[in-house]
Amino acid sequence: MPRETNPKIISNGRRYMGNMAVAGVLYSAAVFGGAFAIRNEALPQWAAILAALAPLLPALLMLRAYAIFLNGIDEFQRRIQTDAMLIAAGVVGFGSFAYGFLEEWAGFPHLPLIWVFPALIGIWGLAACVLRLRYK
Amino acid sequence: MRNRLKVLRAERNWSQADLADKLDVSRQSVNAIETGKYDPSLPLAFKIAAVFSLPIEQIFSADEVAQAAE
Amino acid sequence: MSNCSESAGKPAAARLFRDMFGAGMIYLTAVLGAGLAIKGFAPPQWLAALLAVAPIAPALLMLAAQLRYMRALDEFQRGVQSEAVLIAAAVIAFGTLAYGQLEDMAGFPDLSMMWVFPAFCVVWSAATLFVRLRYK
Repeated sequence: MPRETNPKIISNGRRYMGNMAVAGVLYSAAVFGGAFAIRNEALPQWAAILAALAPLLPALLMLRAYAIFLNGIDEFQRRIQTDAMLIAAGVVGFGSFAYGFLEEWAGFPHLPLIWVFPALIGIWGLAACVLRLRYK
Repeated sequence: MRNRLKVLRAERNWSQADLADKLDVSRQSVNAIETGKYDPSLPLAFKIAAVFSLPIEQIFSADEVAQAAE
Repeated sequence: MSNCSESAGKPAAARLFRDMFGAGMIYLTAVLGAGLAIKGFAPPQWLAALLAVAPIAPALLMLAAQLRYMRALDEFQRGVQSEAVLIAAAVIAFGTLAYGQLEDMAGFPDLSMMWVFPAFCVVWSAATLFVRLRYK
């Protein structure tokens, strides 16, 4: 793959990585902190709800970082990104649908909804790689 | 992008629906292009140029170019 | 060339409605049939798993109908659709993350994965209306 030399594109990518790393650390802190607090202290219901929803803030930071990144890339790359997200939405939509039925009727173990988000991100990353290969 | 679709359409007495039919797109799409909210793809831009029998540059212009010319 | 003023719109929409209706009927039959069979005859696990994923086939038919519809749209309308899918994916991703956390940490009742896809379809339709308004 020819190396990217456009300084604007490079700095846009770097800023994205930086923002994501910060948001990722905050997210882990919120998830683990919240889980720790709930397991070790007898929190009232409202505090438990707050602790449970705390990771949404860093997740929104991730969304913001991604929006800034999308703004900084060119139309062709943006197309790859949006196509990859469409594929991820389709795969996760159907995957979760199928698994839901297995869970309800065939006694498969219950998967909490919390896994939808990471699955979406994982498949989207994979789809973006595959799509990029297609244009090689 | 700026465009002269509305003027060109008026010169020919075409409605948005007429133009939509000629381009094989929806009237909504013609409207979005006309109001500058949607930039057509290169193939569609060529189709528009063919329908008006004009070169693309006489229909569409980049914002910066248009401003410089004013 | 079409001679209808909303070319690519109305005949395709009528076809989508017809196809969706047919697939929907098959879907309902599959869900009810498989549900009754599983509850009524207590089939072995492998058969239950097969029956449980049976409703996926009509769901795929629905997806095929939707894809056929989107291919009949022009590029602008397709752009509106994919924007709407992306909004829906973001809403569902955050919604499931939030509810999953509440399930996990604040004792909210478990929701099956099965609900992700229907919720996605509903949010998608709402997002389509919203995006279309923006281009008015």
